[in-house]
Parts: sequence; structure tokens; C-alpha cells
Amino acid sequence: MINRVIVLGAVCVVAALVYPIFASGPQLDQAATALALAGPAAAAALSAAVGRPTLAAAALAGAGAYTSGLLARQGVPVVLSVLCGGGAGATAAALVALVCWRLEAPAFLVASLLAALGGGALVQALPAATGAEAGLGPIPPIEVALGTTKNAVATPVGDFHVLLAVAAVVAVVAGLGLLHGPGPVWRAIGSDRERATASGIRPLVGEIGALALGGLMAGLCGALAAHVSRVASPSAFGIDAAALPLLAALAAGRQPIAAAGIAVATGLVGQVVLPAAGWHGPPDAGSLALGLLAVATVATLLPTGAARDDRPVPGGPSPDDEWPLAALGIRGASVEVLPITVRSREGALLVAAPSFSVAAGQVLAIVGPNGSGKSTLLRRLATILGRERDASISVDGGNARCVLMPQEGGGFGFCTVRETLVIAGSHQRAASSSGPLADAWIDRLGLRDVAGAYCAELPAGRRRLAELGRVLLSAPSVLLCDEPLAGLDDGSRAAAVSCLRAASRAGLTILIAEHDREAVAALAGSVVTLERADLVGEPLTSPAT
Amino acid sequence: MIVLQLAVDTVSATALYALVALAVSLAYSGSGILNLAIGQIAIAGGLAAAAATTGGWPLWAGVALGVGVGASLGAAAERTLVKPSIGRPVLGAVLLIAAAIVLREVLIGLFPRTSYAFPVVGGAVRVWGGIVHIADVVTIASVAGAAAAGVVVLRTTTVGAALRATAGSPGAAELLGVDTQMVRTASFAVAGALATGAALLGVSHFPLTAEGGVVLALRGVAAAVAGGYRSPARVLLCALAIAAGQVIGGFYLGSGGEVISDAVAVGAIAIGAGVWHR
Amino acid sequence: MSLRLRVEQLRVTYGSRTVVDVDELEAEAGRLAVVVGDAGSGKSTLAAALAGAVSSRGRVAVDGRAVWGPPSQRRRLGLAAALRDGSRVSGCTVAEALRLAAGGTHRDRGALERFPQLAGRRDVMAQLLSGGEQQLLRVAGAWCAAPLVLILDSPTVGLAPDAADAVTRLAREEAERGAAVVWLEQDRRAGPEPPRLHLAHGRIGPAQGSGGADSAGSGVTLAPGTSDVPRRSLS
Repeated sequence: MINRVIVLGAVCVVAALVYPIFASGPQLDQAATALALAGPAAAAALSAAVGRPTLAAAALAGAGAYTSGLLARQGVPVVLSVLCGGGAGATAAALVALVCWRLEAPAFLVASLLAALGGGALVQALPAATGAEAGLGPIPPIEVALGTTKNAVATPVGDFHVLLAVAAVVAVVAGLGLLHGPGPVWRAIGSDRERATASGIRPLVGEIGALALGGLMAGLCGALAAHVSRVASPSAFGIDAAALPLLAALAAGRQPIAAAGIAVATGLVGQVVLPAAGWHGPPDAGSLALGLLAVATVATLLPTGAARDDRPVPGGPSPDDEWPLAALGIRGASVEVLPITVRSREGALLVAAPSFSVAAGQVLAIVGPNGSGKSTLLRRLATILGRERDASISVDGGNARCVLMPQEGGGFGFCTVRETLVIAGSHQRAASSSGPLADAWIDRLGLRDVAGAYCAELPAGRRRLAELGRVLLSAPSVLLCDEPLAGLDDGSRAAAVSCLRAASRAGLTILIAEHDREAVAALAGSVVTLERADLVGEPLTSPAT
Repeated sequence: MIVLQLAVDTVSATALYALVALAVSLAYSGSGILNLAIGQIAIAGGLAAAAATTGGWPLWAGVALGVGVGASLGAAAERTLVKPSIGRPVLGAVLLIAAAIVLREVLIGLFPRTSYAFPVVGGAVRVWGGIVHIADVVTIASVAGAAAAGVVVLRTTTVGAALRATAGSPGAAELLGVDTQMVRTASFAVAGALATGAALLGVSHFPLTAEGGVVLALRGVAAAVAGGYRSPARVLLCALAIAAGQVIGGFYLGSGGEVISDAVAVGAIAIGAGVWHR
Repeated sequence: MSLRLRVEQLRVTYGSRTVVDVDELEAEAGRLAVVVGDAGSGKSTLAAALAGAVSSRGRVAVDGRAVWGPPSQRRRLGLAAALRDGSRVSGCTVAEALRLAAGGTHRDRGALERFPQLAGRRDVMAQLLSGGEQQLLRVAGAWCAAPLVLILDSPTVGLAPDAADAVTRLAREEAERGAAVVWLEQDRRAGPEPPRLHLAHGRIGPAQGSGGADSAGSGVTLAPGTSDVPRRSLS
């Protein structure tokens, strides 16, 4: 598979290098414009990977183009103008990420589209400076000063190759950045913002970083394209231009290199291939290419409904061996909770929990039927223990670290198992030691054969085991588990129980919400029973013997 | 005084955006998916109505055809794209964007002219020194009437109860015997019809062209997103802010009005997310 | 006596775990069959699977006709259920909810007569009801469908005595009317009749004192130590 990709890439590079020999002037211009789509596509892929899919990628390129054009017309050297164009793209992207950081993804899509259209309107509103409809031009060509008197001016063919090189570099950098370095953290943020926050990541930082990098790339490509075609066009801020990078990114599965390839191919089809084949009628060739891309995206993304294979995997982790807990440096904390009442927005009673306390290193089970509010109670505890001082909760040891193991899912969907555990582990300790620790836990949890697989593709039982590893590696003082054993087959269940018991003996305070009274009875030192909050007048508390 | 003219323009623009916002909220309440194709669906219906009336059909028949096209496209979008995306709002939103693009290409092929005529209530009245267009008054009255009818249907009829039960809790509604699939499809169909109405009412401000429809719809979607889909009052307030930015900004700053309304829209969404969506 | 309900090879999995594993289950018309299962035996999941609220594999047939699809479709095919767990009715008043459940017949009026506790709250929004009232609402909603097969999952737990009596009376009258009523219960003393079947840790058999084999089910197996499945919303 990889070999085929490499061969395909090599063929494309050769074709691109050779193409100018056969192409006419205008076709070269159009091809160059298509090449410049690599930047916005890589930006869109980065933004989608970090969980902030944006329709503003092309507008960022347009911002770069206008900035660079304006500066170049004032006499700033072209190379510097292009870099400033990239900077403009990065700044605009970071700004959008910052203003809209509280939005859910669909709302972010709408806001980014509005920002893109707003940019276009801004350009139209300052016709004296920006040339309005006709675009900003003429923009000086790419020139590099070779000495005090000589300048090297790029020919059309040279332009093309410069743009090709930059587009390739941009795509590769984005692709590598998403695989290594900050990539796993960005993908973790994109998988599940809340889990990422609980693992010690600051989502806003990651989002701004990813979007700014994408903005830089889009800005650079847009600026270069403006210098190649001598004009900065306001169509970059339009709807068509907005959709193409995002569709390419999603059709490529959020991988920047493939996204760049798809976007460039779509651009080439629209700008060069279709016109050369004689297509003139409405819709125009560019729109038609976009329409084809849209159809391809729908076909790729539409869920086929194939069920994931969730059958239990034979040979789960052994419950009897040692658990590598010593390296985690667990320090438990005792918890005192006063009666908690949680109401829904309309005022209906969701949880009415009695007061309880847990000593350090003890395990408390919260049992009750579905609907008694166990999950709500745990989430409320996680919120309170994790952040504010609340009169109803007190945890000794001041800086107690409270981690929630949610009921649904496990690990970071877009990250591999190993990346998930490394991220979890690197919060509290140096990066160099989190790698071996993650490997030790992978082996212990029996996940060695899937260590390189993405968490979203794992069978549910193994995903829960990876999640167990993730929460433990975060070195909590208090662990809140919401149905940690649900969905586990018998072997994994026994291993999970043994792991939790060992962690408790190492000093970790654990609160478990579970249906399964038997497994919990083997583990728990005390029990709180939650009845359906509104069913019974007084919730019962029954410390187990 | 200019004030009355500006006020009427603002209220009329608000009415248009609010109608689209109402349509988007309706579709959202049944499914949790933001219908980003609503603009293109509205234009499709509008172009159908324009083609019919230009071809000699009486006005009411043209409008009925257009609204019917809008409703059918909405229902089709729900069946093919929304149903598999339940629970995954980003996927749904992106699929609808892609569908909107495809629909636009088809429309450009069918309706290649730059604008299509649709009968507009003509005439203007000089009031207090400003000019008030009769068409705007008709718009305001129509949207107010539609909103009132919507409230009546929602509060008093069984259909309205079914929609509310589905929006409140689809699982529980199913167990009560409500066919939530039908409710979802119907809500998307009605949303398409309402949005087509907005496109037809707004013909004097947003010309009917195959490539149009996006701006009107986008502002309506922004009002719905900012207002939180659930409270009509908040949605209306956001629509008003966006419309005011556009009209008043446009009056004093020329094409700067568009920038201001976009900025207001983004700001409203950002603020709304922080304040109202807990 | 004719068979109203027949279930074959019903399987529900959650994650890597098989929660319900029923080879064969039958219920006769005109009989009220009580099935007792401990906490975590999967009885709520079984009820949800029969109702169509969780995805399952296998075949469910009412009067010989296959019953499938979401709960509203199964209601139209004659199988109605009052589940214990899961989402509360929300967004409409009690009277409206019953009117939706009655779907054009006038049984909602009958429901309000049978349950004066609900009649007294008829114009209250359903999400503000207490848990017991929600329970009554669900039972009344299932009854409004005039079903051929009525599934009740622990319907009287947490109800005041008069409400519990009303529910028991409703179940008995439905059985007399010719429906097959399956009453799942955790506490063997709480059911309207002595239990016929006992579910526990994968073993099924006639419950003690039920008087020998009856056609109300054989071969119902539920996996050991199974927890109630967290509700996933079907929408």
C-alpha cells in the first residue's frame, strides 16, 4: 500500500515538473492556481483533525494574498511580503479559533463561513485599497535579489515550480506534524475535548496552534499564488472556495497530504482538464469539479451501517500478575461529600445523593438502577473536585487530582492506543519516562497487538481496557469510574477488577458506579445505594458489610 | 425622517432571517442536525415558483409549486443524509453542505440566467420623510402570520405535541407510539417550505438566482445558532441584531453593511454560545 | 389457548458482552405471565429488546406475524411495552402524551379514568412529573395502544399502594380481554401472581411453586452477572 502511494507520488512529481513544457501560458496560470489549493486543504485537514472543521481555509489564503499584494505594491521585497501573508493567515486563524472557542463544531462551521464572507465583504467595502471586484493588482512577480543590482525574476515556468515546491513542502509538513510532535495531542483534542482536558491538555492552546499552523500554510500558498497570477482575487472569500478545502480534507480522512492531493486534483480538473476537454456550459468547469468532489465526499462519508466486530478477543490480560503501579506514584486522598442535589434545567430532580465519605485508599461503590443518577452524580463530583472549592466537598491534600472514567467510549478515538497512553502519562511526568511506562501498561493490559491501532477501531472491550490504562496513567488521587466493567467479557472483567483492587491497595481512592453488584462487592469497602431520585422520598444509604 | 424607513427595512429583514431561523430550528429540534442546505433548497423552490409564474401559471399555483419543491427537497435530504447521521452533528452538517453544492450545480444547469423575475407587490409610500416599500410591509405581515400560525399549531394540535415530545426525548416519544422518523422527515419538509417562503418574500432584496440564497440562509442559520434553537424570543433577538447591523450599517457605510452584519452574526454566535448554551 | 407472542434466538450484546441470549420464549393469549429475575439478570434489556428500544438480533412474532422496527412500529403491529429505565417523557403535557399514545382512539380518556393520579396532573408538563407518575404515564401509554402483547417491566416498583393496585388491575383485565401480558419483576412477592419463570445467572426454569411446566416460556437464558444495559437512545 505504502509502495503504491510512493510510486503515485513520484509519478505526480515528475508529471508536475514536466508539465510546463507542454502547457500554454494561461493553462500554466490555471494549473498554478490549482496547486495553491494545497495550502488551504492542508489547513482544513489540520482544523478538522483538531476538532474545529473550518470553512474559512480559502479565506485565510485570500487574506494572505491581499496582505502580500498590498505590501509588495508598497515596495516590500516579495519574499518578505509572502512571509507576511503567511503571518496574516496565521493571525486570522488564531483569532477565529479564539473568538469561537466555546462553540460546538457545527456552530463553528457556520461562524467560520460567516467570517470568510465577512472578509470578502470587507474587501468589497474598501475598493480604493483593494480594487474591489476586479481584485488587487497588478502584483509584482516573484523576485529574489541576487545582488545590489541584479534581481532574479521568476518566469512563468519558474513560478510554477516554486509554487509546486512550496505546496509539496506545506502538505508534507502538515502531514508529519499531525503524525508526530504536536499531532497526537491535536488529534486527542479533536477526538474528545473533555477527555483531553481531563488528561491535562489545554484544548484551546492546541486548537489555536493547529489552526494557526494551518493559517500560515494557507496564507503562504495564497500569497504565492497571488504573485504568480499577478492578482489577488476576492473570489477566495466566496462560498465555492470555502467548501472545497473542507470537502477535500474530509474525503481524505483528515490527512493533510491526501487532502492536498485531492484538492489539487479537483482544482486541476476544474481549471485545466474540463476546459481543455471542451466543457463550457453552465455550470462552469470549476463548479462542476466542486460538485463532483461533493458527490465523492458524500459517498465516502455516508456510513455504510456495517457493524463493528465486538466479539470478545480470546486471551485477555491475566488477572493474577503484578500491575506496574509503583511507577505511577499514586497518592490517594480522602473525600467527604455532603448531600448533593442536581436538578435539570427545567427543575426536574436528577440526583438526590446522601452524604458519604471515603478514606484514602478505599473503594466506594455507588449502585442503583438506570436512571438513578449515578452518571450525573459522578460528573458533578468530577466537576467540583477538579475545579472550584465547594462547601459540599472537601478533599484533603489540597491538590488532589480527580479523574473521571466516563461510561461511553475509551481512549482518544483518533489516536492510537500507544499515543493515548503516552499523552495520559506525560501530564505528570517527563516525556522521556512516559514512553516506557505506556509500553509497560500496554503489555500488562494485553494490548500489545493493537498498540498501533486507532482507539476508534478497537472492539469495545479492548477500548475500555485502554481507557482504564489512560485514567491510571494520569496519576489521579481520586478515580471516579462510571461503569468500568460494562461491556467487558469475563476475562477482561476479571483483569479490570484485579487492576482496580491493586490500585486501591497502592493508595488510590476509587468511587465506582456500577450495576453489577457482584463484581463491585468483591471490590468495594462500602456501598451507597441511589434510588431513582424522585421515586422514593428519602434516598437510602446502606454501608455494605 | 429616515428613522421609519430604516425601522421598516430592519424589521422586514429581521422577518426574513427569522423565518429561515424558524425553519432551521424546526429541523434541528427533530433531529439535532443543522440543515446547512436550507438556502439552496429555498432557492430551488423559489426558482420553480418563478419559472411557473413566468410560464403563465397563476400566482398562487406558482407559489404552491415552489413551496412543494422546497418541502420535497427537505424531506429527501432528511431521508438520505440526515437519518444516517443522527448522533453525529458534524457529519450531518458536512453532508448537507455537499448536497447543497450538488443541488446548486444542478440548478445552474437548469436555470442559467443571472436572475429570475417573481412578481413582487409593487409600490412605495412616502411616510415621514422616508420611503417605505409595500413589499416590506407584506413581508412583515406574512412572517408574523406564519409565526402565529406556527405557535398555534405547536401549542394546541396533536401534531405539535408529537413534535415537542420528539424534541424532548425521542426514545420516550417512540414508546408512546410517536413515529419519530415521520416527525423528522415532516419537520425537514416544513422547514424547506418555510425557507422557500422566505426566498419568495425576499425577492426584492435577494434576487432569485441559482447561485444565490446562501447569504439569506446563512444569516438565518446564524440567528438560529446564536439564539439556541429553543427559545423563539432569543432567536428573534439575534435575527434583529443581524438585520440591524446590515440595514443601518448599509445605510451609513454602503457595502460596509455586509461586513457589519457578518461581524454581528459571528459575535452573536460566540456570545450566545457562552451565555445561553450551558 | 393460542400463542400470542413467540420469540426466537433473541440476542442483545453490549460491547463484548452478551446481555440477553434467549433461544425461545412464548406467551399465550389471555394469560398474565410473571417472570422474576434478579438485579442484573438482563430482564430490563429483554423488555427493551422486545419493545424495539435497543437493537437486537432474532425474531419476534405476534400472532404469527413478525414484529420489528422501532417501538412505534411495533406498537402498530400489536406489541406495546412500558419500560422501567431510560428516557423520561418530555416536552408535552400528560394529557397530550396520552392522546399521542391513543392515536385517534379515545382510550386516553379511559386511561385518565383508570389513573386518577394522572388525571390530577393532566396539564402538567411530563418532564416535571415525579418518577412514580412517569411510571404510571408509561404504563397508561402502553395500555392506550390496546395491544395484543403487553410487556411490563417492574411496573409497580416505587408506586404508592393505590397506584400499584390500579396497575395490577389493569394487567389482569388486559389478560382477561385476551392479550398476552408479560410482567417482568425483581421481587417475587410484588407481582400480581406467583411467578412462572425464574431468570438468574443463565438458568431458566419454572419458578418454585408455579405448578409444573407451563407454556409461558422455556429455554430463556440470560448471561450470568449481566448488568442492565445503559440505555442508548434510538432516534
